[in-house]
Amino acid sequence: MMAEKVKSDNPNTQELVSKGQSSAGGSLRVNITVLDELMTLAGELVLTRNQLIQSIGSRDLDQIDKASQRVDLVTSELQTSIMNTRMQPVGTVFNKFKRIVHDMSQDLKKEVDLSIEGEDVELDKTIIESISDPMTHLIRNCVDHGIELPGVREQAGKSNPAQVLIKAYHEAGQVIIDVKDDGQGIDPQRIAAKALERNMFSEKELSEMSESELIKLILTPGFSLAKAVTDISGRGVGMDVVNNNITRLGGTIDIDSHVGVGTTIRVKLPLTLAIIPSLIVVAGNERFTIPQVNLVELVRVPPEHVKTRIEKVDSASVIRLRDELLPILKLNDVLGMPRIYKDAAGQFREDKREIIHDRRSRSVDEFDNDAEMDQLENEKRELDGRRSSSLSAVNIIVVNAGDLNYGIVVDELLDSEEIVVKPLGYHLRDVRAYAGATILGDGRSALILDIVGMSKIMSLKAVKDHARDKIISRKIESGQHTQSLLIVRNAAEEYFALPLGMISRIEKIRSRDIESPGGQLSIKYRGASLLLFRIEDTARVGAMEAVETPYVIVFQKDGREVGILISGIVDAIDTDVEIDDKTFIQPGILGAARIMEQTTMMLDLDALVSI
Amino acid sequence: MKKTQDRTTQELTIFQVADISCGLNTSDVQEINKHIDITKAYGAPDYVRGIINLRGEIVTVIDLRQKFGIEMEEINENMRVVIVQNQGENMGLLVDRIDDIITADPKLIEPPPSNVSGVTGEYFTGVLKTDDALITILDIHNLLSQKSEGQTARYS
Repeated sequence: MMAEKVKSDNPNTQELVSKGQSSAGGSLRVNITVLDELMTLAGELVLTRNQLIQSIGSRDLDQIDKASQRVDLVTSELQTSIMNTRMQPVGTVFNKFKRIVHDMSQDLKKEVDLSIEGEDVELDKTIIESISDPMTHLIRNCVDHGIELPGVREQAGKSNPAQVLIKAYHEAGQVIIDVKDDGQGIDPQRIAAKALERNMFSEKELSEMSESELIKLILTPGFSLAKAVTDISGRGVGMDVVNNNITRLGGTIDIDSHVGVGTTIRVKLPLTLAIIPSLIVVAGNERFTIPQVNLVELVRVPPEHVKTRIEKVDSASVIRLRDELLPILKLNDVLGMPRIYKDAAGQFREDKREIIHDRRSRSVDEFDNDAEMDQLENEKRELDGRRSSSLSAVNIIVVNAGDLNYGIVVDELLDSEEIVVKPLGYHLRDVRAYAGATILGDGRSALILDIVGMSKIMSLKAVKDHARDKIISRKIESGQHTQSLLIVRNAAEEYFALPLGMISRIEKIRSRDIESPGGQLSIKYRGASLLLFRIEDTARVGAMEAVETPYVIVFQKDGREVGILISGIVDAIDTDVEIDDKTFIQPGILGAARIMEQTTMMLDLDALVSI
Repeated sequence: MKKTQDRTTQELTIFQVADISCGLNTSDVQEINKHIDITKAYGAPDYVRGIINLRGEIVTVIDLRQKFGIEMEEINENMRVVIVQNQGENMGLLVDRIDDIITADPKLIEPPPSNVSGVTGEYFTGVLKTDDALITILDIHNLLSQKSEGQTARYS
């Protein structure tokens, strides 16, 4: 903490910090406990190495297994500790805002009260260094243009001094910084008028934009150049630069503004840039990684549903997902790959269907064709003796690109892995679909997809903002009754539901990998044994149907991970359904409800598991 | 451009790209890699074959065939990636095969004719005539600078 104080008070160091990357040669103060921890881990690493060398020398598989587990553990602890040395509190950056706001409000004869929350929230030092400039810009904008003069505020019935709040907090593995003021807000109509005047968009295009889309226009480069916009709407100078800086860090900006009420600018930042958990996917024989922070959910549309769930809106493909329409795109198309498909024998073949080069027209009928093909294939398969096949199912990864969610269609989903982000060479730096590259476990390189960049390449827009508003308002109406449930299958026609929030992970396993030492089912999972339980062991329900690849629902019980075996996943839904907690109640079952025309039993996860 | 220490002779690494014999000042060559496991980078300029993992570093591989406007080939076992350094960054050049390393007298290197084997001479600093072949000396800095013949990234 003291180190940060020194840093921000010293003008020379401050300059270094604001230059971002250029401070690479500087020094950093590290908490002594973190350093001690590193020392301990280094010692452990050496011991483990000796153990490993010894066990490899003696060809003792059991010992090698143990040693490698140990390496795994020490590595991840070491990684966490080293990351900790790089973490710095955002207070470093926030402290100088007090001065800026104070000076500016005096110059502009405004009364501003700045409050700061969450100074202790920590971010990687490279991120801290790089957010200093954009954040300063946001604060200056806020005081300069957002806040009215005291007289104007009084007339509008607002209190003086004006309130500006800078708040940092954690949410879903990201750090969020809000800059909130109760100033005049941004008038979307004025932005629209200016955009029209500058011929950036046609009247028709502008009329189709929602208010939030209009406000987002201030982030486009054209707007920042227009001094006049600053005079009317109050915001805009250099906002595109702010946006670029934040996006480059893998962050996003959201603006929520109401005329006369105030503006909240929300900056979402990743905790660190160096090592990130990510999902590995396959498209056209190549592997790609998608940062986990961008992931919302994975959707697999079975062949028979492709036609009904994937639709067209204004020549773009969309998927209907829980009443919401999401734009979807094929990874192969975004990257301009030759289209291939897996034939019945599992071989990749070149797709003989029309290869569409033109991006604009690509989506027309594309999925219809697919759906028809799938339909045909299905019929054929049914004739072939009802062989069920996943070959023509569509895998969709729903991702979040700031204010927009969209789906990416990929050929295959692989595992999730922690990847080390490596920069790309300068020939590839301008390719917006890639955020960097990494080296996977097998030593091959793979590209990291830039989720925001991809949505820009395909000029994706949210399908209809009001459709989303409707859903949100419906959620609010139903209040806290809504809950997210995972619907699963065990015996052939018996359905169970469990709260999505309790689940850590869902794993697909092979039934032959299940072991049963001493009658207790277990499976090797991430280098350790995971205890498995069946629903029918506790509750009086039908026995699990025999499948080759059952699923395991992994969750935490008393601080350790346990798994429940089920035969299949049906869906994940948000529902406000009333649960009948009388009729079906029994050990392991909390009650039942009618969900999707099926009587579905609510599982009592804790009761099903006995350790 | 780096000059070799010894001004009277110059070491050249000779490799083949399609039917063109190319030479590169050996002091520009960092290493020659035969384990090529290239990850294709779709959406990049055509002459970018992909990326490789060079001992933990991601290196862009330039397909010299594509760069010279010749049809690209499937990877075969004769192919090598020649690692060179340009603007402080390691880069790979995909070549059909490595032929030889020769010592040449710089005086024998002639300025490039305006047209070399159907390829414009902008990537060459000169040609060297040997007993059995005509070797074109590559100018890696021209070759690897991105702003050549408007072949920019497809999406930028």
